Amino acid sequence: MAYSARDPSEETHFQDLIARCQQGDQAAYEALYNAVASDVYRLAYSLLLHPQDSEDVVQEVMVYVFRSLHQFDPKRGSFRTWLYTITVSRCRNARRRKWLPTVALSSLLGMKSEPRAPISQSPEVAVAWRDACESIERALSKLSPRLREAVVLRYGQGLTYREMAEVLDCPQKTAESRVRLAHEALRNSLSEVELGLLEEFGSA
Amino acid sequence: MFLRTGDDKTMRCRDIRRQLHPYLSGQLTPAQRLRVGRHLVQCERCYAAFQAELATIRHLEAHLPALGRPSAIQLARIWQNVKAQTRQASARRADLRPASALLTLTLALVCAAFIFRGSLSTAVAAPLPPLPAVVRTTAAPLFTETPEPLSNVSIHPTASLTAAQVRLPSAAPAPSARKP
Repeated sequence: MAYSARDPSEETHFQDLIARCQQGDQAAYEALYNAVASDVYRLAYSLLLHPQDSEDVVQEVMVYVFRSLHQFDPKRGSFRTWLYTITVSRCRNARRRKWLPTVALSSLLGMKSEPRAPISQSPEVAVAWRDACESIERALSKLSPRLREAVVLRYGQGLTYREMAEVLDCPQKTAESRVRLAHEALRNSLSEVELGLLEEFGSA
Repeated sequence: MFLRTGDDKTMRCRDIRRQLHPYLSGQLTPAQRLRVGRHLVQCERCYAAFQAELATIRHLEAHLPALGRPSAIQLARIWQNVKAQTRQASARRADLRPASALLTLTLALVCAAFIFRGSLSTAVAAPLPPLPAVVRTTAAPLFTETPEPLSNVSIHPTASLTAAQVRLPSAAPAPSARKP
């Protein structure tokens, strides 16, 4: 589910959990983890396209976040923006550390994580869903890391351009142009067949 | 004239296609939106490009949020690791707390000792004598007498000996022929 960064109730919920965490409430830590871990994993996976590396990044991010909760300043931005800034930074480090090539290692090593189809779908729909996800993943793997970050934050996490600029630490215009360039590249790399498949699945 | 019109149209199409993404993202001013919209109604190719752009956005919005969705098992595994790592870190901090307190105390004592020693030595040390207010330079030369003539200077007797007077050892006798 794409997150709407402008949801004020979610931000209030986070503030409450953070306050409880700072008082030493162990249940609040778990609640905070449950609230964000899935999105952090999705973001990490979309950027690295490697399940094990994504797990490592989520672990690093969450440990860092729990230790640095006192550094989070709600006046400077939302909790999600802060969290995604840390995640993107850790993903860049992971890519640098392992020198991950732009093609998905998962596809080379056969370590592909199974894309999860929506619950209670027929087998045909599940297969079509998996194919659609794979075609998107293949197209994403051909993008440069910067363009991938932009398109994943925009459509995968539903951030606004202003929030993207905060996370990517660049001017808003740069974020916009990166998304536009990513679009052009994705349109070119997604073949007509894949677009037809996606269209068919989207209308199903 | 015809060529110029064609060039203008090409330019306009290129410009419009560059604005398709901002148009769909709602980033254009009303005047710009109107201009793009009017062009799309008239130009089939740009309209096709618009449709393709729209389709790409829809696909990305539909499928990217589903990409890499973790399983409950994965999330539970990561949570266990996070908990273990956080506990380890806090235990390490707790272990280090007495050691760091001891280190701080030692450093404080050493600093205090240095400061105390410094203030003590300053109090005991004698003050330096004050410098004279005016340092006078003497204009008088160090040697006022005229140098004595060399004839008057008595020289040690050995100094007047010539090389001939010095008795040198006689030359070694020539080697005599050996008798067989």
